[in-house]
Amino acid sequence: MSVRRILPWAMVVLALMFAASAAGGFVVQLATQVLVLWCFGLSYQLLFGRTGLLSFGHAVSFGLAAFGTAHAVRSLAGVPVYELLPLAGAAVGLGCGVLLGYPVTRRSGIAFAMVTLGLGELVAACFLMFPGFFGGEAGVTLQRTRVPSMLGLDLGQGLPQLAVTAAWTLAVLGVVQGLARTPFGLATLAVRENAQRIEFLGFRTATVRWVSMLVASTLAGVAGALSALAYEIVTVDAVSMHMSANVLLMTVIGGLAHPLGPLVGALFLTVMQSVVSDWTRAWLFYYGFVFVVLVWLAPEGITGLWQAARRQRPSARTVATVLIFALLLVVFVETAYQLALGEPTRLPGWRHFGPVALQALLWSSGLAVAAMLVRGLRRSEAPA
Amino acid sequence: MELLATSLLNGLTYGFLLFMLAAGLTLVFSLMGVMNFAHASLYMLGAYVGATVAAAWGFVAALLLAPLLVGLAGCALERWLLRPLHARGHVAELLFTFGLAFLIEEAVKLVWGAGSIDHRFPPALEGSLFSAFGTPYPAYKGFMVAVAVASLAGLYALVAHTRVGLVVRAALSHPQMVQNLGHDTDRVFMAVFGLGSALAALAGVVGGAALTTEPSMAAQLGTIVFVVVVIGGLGSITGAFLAAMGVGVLQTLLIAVDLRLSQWLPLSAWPALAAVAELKVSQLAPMTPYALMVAMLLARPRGLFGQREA
Amino acid sequence: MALPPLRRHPLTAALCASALLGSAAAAHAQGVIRIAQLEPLSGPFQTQGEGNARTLQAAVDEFNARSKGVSFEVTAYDAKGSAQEALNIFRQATERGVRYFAGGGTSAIVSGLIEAVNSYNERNPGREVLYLNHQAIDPDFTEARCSFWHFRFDPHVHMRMYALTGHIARDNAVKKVYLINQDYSFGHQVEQSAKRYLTAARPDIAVVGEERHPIGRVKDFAPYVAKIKAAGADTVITGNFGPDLVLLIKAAKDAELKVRFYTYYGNALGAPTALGDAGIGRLRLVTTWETNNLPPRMKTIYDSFKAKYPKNDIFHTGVIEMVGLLGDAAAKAGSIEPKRVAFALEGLKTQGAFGEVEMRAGDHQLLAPLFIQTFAPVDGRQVRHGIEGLKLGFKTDATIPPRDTAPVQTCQMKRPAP
Repeated sequence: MSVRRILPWAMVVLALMFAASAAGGFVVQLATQVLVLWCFGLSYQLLFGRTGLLSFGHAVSFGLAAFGTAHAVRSLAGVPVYELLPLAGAAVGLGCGVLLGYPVTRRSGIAFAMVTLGLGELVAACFLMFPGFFGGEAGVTLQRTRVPSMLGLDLGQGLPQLAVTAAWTLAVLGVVQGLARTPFGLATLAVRENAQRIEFLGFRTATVRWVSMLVASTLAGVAGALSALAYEIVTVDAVSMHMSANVLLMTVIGGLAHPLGPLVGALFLTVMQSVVSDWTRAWLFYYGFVFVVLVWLAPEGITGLWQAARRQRPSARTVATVLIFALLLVVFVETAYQLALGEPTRLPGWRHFGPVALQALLWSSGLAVAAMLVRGLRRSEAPA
Repeated sequence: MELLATSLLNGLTYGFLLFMLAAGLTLVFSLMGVMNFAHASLYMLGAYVGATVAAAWGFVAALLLAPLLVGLAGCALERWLLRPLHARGHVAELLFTFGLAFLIEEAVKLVWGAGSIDHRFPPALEGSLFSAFGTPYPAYKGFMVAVAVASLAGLYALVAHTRVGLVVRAALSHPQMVQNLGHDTDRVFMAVFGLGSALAALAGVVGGAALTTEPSMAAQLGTIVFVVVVIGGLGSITGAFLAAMGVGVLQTLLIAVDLRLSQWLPLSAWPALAAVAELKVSQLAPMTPYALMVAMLLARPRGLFGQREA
Repeated sequence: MALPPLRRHPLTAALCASALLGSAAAAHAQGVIRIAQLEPLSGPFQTQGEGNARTLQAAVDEFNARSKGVSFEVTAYDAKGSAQEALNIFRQATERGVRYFAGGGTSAIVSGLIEAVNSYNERNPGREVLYLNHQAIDPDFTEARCSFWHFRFDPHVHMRMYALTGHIARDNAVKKVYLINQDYSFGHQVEQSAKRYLTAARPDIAVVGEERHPIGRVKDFAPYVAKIKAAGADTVITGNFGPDLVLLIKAAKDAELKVRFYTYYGNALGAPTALGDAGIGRLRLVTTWETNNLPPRMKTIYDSFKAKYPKNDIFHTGVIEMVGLLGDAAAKAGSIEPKRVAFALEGLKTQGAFGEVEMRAGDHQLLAPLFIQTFAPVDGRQVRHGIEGLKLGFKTDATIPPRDTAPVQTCQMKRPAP
């Protein structure tokens, strides 16, 4: 966990913060969201990317920690410990890891995925039944300014909150990076690759998995706490399948191997959700489509693609094909949404087309997309 | 007594619907190790396609056409999209089908709208079949049971008594050997996947009419189906049947129980658990399948009758 | 004529902001009230969100067509059913100079927005924003969590139950009532207020069962129906909506259970379609929207809505009341400055959608007439319009005047200086 390794990351984050502060409160809020998601994604990357444990219930640690932090803020009003509040989240996350992790990590693969799915559903369903702790449907709100800052910052403003979030995210990054260099970190990789063999070498795979889950839950707890503090509200969304699915999609899209992966995924998700959704109603479709394509073509995610591109520059032809396909797809999808919903997308141009022109556009772009897909599939089948 | 009898009857009927859904999934899983997250989406597609066909050509046409169309789509899906992922392992396939489920839901909302659509049984199936203890048993539920039993019988006959079924069963445990013997396992897998999809679509046509046909139907029923398959055992149709019945009956019977937890657990000592103590068993009933799944996976991941470890 | 949505350009926003400030200084209310409407336009609540966005647009079109001073401009944002996303949009819109926020979607989002608005106004005096709640009916928002900057334009859970139980109390045929609700805060509120008001109004009515089920997870309501039958109930009160309501009533029809269902949302989200004839006489509801007797203003709004969206329906008046009252308050205050409009809204009595309405000053809750209706075939006289494209609609059994809808006020509101 050397300072020298963290320094370039810290510089990047500082630069981003300055840029965000110049752009206004909304961008600062989005930047905070990206950092929180990056932190959450890093914890998931440890669990799934390194140890190979596909979890559909990771949001349980995240959400419970968020609720715990909200209640901590309420009970610690007046005590100047603001910057240490994510430790409360970490504690809750650790608790989740201990309680749920031990029995669950005795399985792996599909069984593990199904157990986490079931547990996630159970927790989310129980949520609404205990309005006292979980605030019912309206959730739990908090005023973060009630807990004074240790450093005298005015946390009512967006920028100091962004700074605190950034500091904690860098800390989590440091932990993850540091862990990767320890024997334990290497063992997690080995457990993912060949669990049976590593048992023979003397490691207990169940223990490795359990510790990995403990760490991942703790870090997810930190992310949950940061989320609660950034938004000042925690709702049942935070433990839902939706949140678990989001962290999965985001991390896979970004890339499971590189620490920048979850950041790229978080940026992608935030841009889609908060910016692209303003322009078009098809943003959910694009999000799902990118995920499916990446799983199929490039399981290393966007960072993986970028690294591959650095090793061997893709030909101009490949780039052109991809761009043309993307353009045709967007035309097809937007036209389809336009026809189906009858409301113009806010992308420029579509409102000017009449129904006949739209139908023509739909069919032509649809056929072109289908043709390219079929050709691509045929090509991928042909012997290399 | 009357409540118990009607609950039992209702539980079994619900179990049959769950079985129809679970049968296709367990078949696919038992053969290919693929936990198809998009299975419930195929159920939904079956319901929507069935509704559209029924509106134009009647319910019988829907019963025949929807499974056929969705089955063909399933074949295409396996052949072109899933097969290349085999080499990358089960997790990659799981992720892919997960994303696919997402996309199918968006596509359905786009084509048919975001609200629920009208899909109902034909008037011939309205009314009651018989009366048990003063409560009528609807004809359409009897029809659902008949369809489920027919599909179970057909599936069992196919797997146990035909040559194709023999190949399928062999490919379950020794795919390499079967291929060496000259059978085209690829085609077998494709056909099985298509069959599984067709079964799901059939369940959709019937289930969508009995329940509601709307975009969230896949997400709602999806997890219960996984529960059934996991409890019954990955790889066993009999297991899926028994688990479906078990889950259906248990859940239905528990709803009839009005006891509060505080009545038979000494929770009053801890005020923090007061909220838990006040819960009635009937409130927790719909959660029992998930609890069972978690328990089963922790205790015996093979499930009740499973032939292969998850 | 509706004004086109504002382009996303900081310069235009700045120009509009300065125009707004300039216009706010004028003696007569002039200018454009820009409302940011947050609705779930994707995700599970999409139909609800779309419905509200379209109804609001129809109401705004009608208002702008006849107004001489103030006009409205609405931009709909997709809150996606997530509180965090809604807060992002709030931040973004406040930066663009929007001062009026409407909508939400779920209780969680409304709760988050109320807190955000309160914090924002506290930290930005002189640039306050208003939050106009047209759909979230959790009583908390005008009781324990009431805020000067929040106004609710829809009767809340307890008010509807008060009106409903008042009507039931007058029906001597009702002897045994069964309560079945979703197991979360809304369902709990329906259950508790039903018990409270029923026992107060008619002590002889027995509540023979209280059932709570997890929301959206029950596929087969037959066992619940069996329990209702076993309890011998003649009336069921439920807050269920969407599939939970549809499946419940379908199961009741299957079991030939002859009870009356009193609901909150029987006219929406697919319930009429899925029920069809099964619901006739059985399905009843308490609502603010009375399709059979449309005053001229409502008729204009309804016709323009149906012309654009023939397959959809309006099913509550929240957004319409919001537009009407806001317009009147701006005229009364002579300004479109949010704080002045807020003070003008307090205690405002005016012609609402279906009769006189009052915005109660004490808790910022609108008092409006409520209607008890029964599902019935369209006959041109009592039932004029079908719903969701069917030949079935709702017949009005009773009209509850505003003063009979609001039991108590418990809000302790902190007001700013005018």
